[in-house]
Amino acid sequence: MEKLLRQACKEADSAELFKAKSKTIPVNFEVNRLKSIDISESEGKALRVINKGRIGFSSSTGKDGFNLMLEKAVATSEFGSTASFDFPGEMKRENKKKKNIAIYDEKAADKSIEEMVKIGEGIIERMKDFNRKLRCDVTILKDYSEIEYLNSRGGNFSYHKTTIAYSVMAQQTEDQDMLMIYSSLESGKDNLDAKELTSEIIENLEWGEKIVPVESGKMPVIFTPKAALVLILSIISGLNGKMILKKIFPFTSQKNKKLWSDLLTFYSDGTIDFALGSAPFDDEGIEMKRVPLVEKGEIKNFYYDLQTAGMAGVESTGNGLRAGIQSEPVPGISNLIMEEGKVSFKEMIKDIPEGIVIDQVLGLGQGNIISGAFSNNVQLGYKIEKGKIVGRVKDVMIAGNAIEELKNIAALGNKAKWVEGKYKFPHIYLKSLSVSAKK
Amino acid sequence: MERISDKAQRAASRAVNLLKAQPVEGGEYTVILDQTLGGVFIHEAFGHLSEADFLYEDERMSDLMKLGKKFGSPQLNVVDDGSIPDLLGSAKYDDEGVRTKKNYLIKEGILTGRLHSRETAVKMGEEPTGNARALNYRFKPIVRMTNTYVENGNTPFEDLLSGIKKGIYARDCYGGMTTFEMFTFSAGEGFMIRDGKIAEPVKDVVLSGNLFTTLLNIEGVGNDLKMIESGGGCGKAGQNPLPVSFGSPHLRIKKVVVGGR
Repeated sequence: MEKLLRQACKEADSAELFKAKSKTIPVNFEVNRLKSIDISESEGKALRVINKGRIGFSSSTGKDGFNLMLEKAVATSEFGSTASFDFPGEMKRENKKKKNIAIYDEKAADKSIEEMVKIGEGIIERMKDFNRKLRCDVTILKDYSEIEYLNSRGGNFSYHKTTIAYSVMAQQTEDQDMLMIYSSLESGKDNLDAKELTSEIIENLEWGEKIVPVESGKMPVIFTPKAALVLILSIISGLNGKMILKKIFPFTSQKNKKLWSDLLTFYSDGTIDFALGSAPFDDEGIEMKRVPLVEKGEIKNFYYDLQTAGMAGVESTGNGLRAGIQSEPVPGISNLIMEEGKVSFKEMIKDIPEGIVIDQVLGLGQGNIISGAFSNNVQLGYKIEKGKIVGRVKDVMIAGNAIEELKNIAALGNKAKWVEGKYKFPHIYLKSLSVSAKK
Repeated sequence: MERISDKAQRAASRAVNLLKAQPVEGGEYTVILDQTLGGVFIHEAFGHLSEADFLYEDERMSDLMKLGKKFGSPQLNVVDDGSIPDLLGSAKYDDEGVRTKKNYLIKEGILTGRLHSRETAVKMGEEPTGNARALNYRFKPIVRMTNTYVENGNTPFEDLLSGIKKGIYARDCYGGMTTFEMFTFSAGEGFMIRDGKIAEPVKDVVLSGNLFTTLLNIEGVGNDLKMIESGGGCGKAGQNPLPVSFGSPHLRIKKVVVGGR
């Protein structure tokens, strides 16, 4: 391989090869029964070159030889962006506190399909014990992947990684009313507790048994960790180094100014053991680390890959991620962790005379992300009356501006939860939000 | 063919228009959807529910989608047709070798058909419809839409507007999501309708509702069907983006919930 890269350097100034290989096995249950077991393997490589100061790129999932890829990459460099960086040299994790990041679990890699089927059956059994009329779709998935990286400046790294995921959709249909509850657990380690998943869904089913009316107006709301992205998505997008360079978001000159509630602190962190976004290096060889993005309501950092960092005249934050083998690295979030508050979910509910809990929404990201405006159907939400959950709401929409609402956080939950294996959010309690309901 | 520079010009004037627009006030409105939004609605909210693989093993869902049920007013006709020449969702045969054809899903307001693969057709004792499609050779054929649309009614656009005291004219779409019965769509552009006339622009228009009630609440079907072929394609079970097209004439729907501050 190194020989090939040396050869590449006869055609281009410098070159980088990224290889990915993966094997995914999802065991799917549909309508309470085993439906399919798939084994899907993929392999691909991507070549990025810097040629006469410009970036060229090519990728292949087939048997394309190195020479053909090189020819394509050099050809595209003619029209590529001007490179504002060079590939990094020797790669070593400098961080003393976190030299090794655990992302591979042998037990997960060895997990048998029989075992996965059993887990799925167990989940369905528990759900049916609760209510025989439930429809459950369950996926038990395991994934193994290998990443290999090397460049013509001598930089190289490789790692392998495992993922285990359980996801459940429980559906209860009465006439034209469908109650649908989604929940999932993800980890790099084979340590997931299916009971945690089913207990949560059963609690939600109990809360949702009765549909109760809501009047339109402003009212206190609690976003569960599952729904927290509604409020955080705009800011995450706005702190992306690319957006900052293009001056698309209003955050460009807002560092270290008080923009949001003191309670709001979150960071990007690719070094957490067995979180789905973790790895020793990002997808272009920069050490992953913890990057404080917002601290006590003030922006501390934007996140960058090599190219955008070079353009901004700063260092890459180790956030250069590829969306797939066909994509060049762009600034992305590895894992996003939001700091917890001090108030329990129960105490929040107790505090509310009339309001709603928002657990699942339709149309995430469909609003105007740049301005912060959001407007979502509350696909799963509960009504609070006099400090108690009294039932489920329906035909209800919430709307607001995330960048504004986060100035007035009443409290954050004291028990943050992982969502999609890469976000960790607490409950977020807002004193007042617009709610529109069907008359 | 429309020139790309004209499209750009229109996008620019739309963006400038939106600068002046106030956020829409939340509540329940009579809404007119343009052809794009109408098409997205019929694809997302109703089309997906017509895919037999969601139904065939689920008694309660099959009950809900029993053929012969009333789904709308007699002016409502919904079709999926993979045999129309030269549309994005068209092909002579589906990916299980079944000839594509015109399938009525709703005829004169009555649920009359659904979309099948060979597997779902046999299991439900119905005929395959030519809707088994795979993204490419790496995927299994599953039940998918082709070209899905609402047939023309006979109400001109002006007549759809008339009689609406305070409503919303929603055009274009930049995103939608459904979970069987509930749907939500973001309009690309919105205007208030006041006393039967299109009035000031409004922004952040997101429509939402229950599919079944909303179909029954369609009270006017325009006569200006347009097929829409842009968009990112359709996604289902990890097979994304599959080329499809959709379309509709202008639709007037009462009692739609619109989110707003």
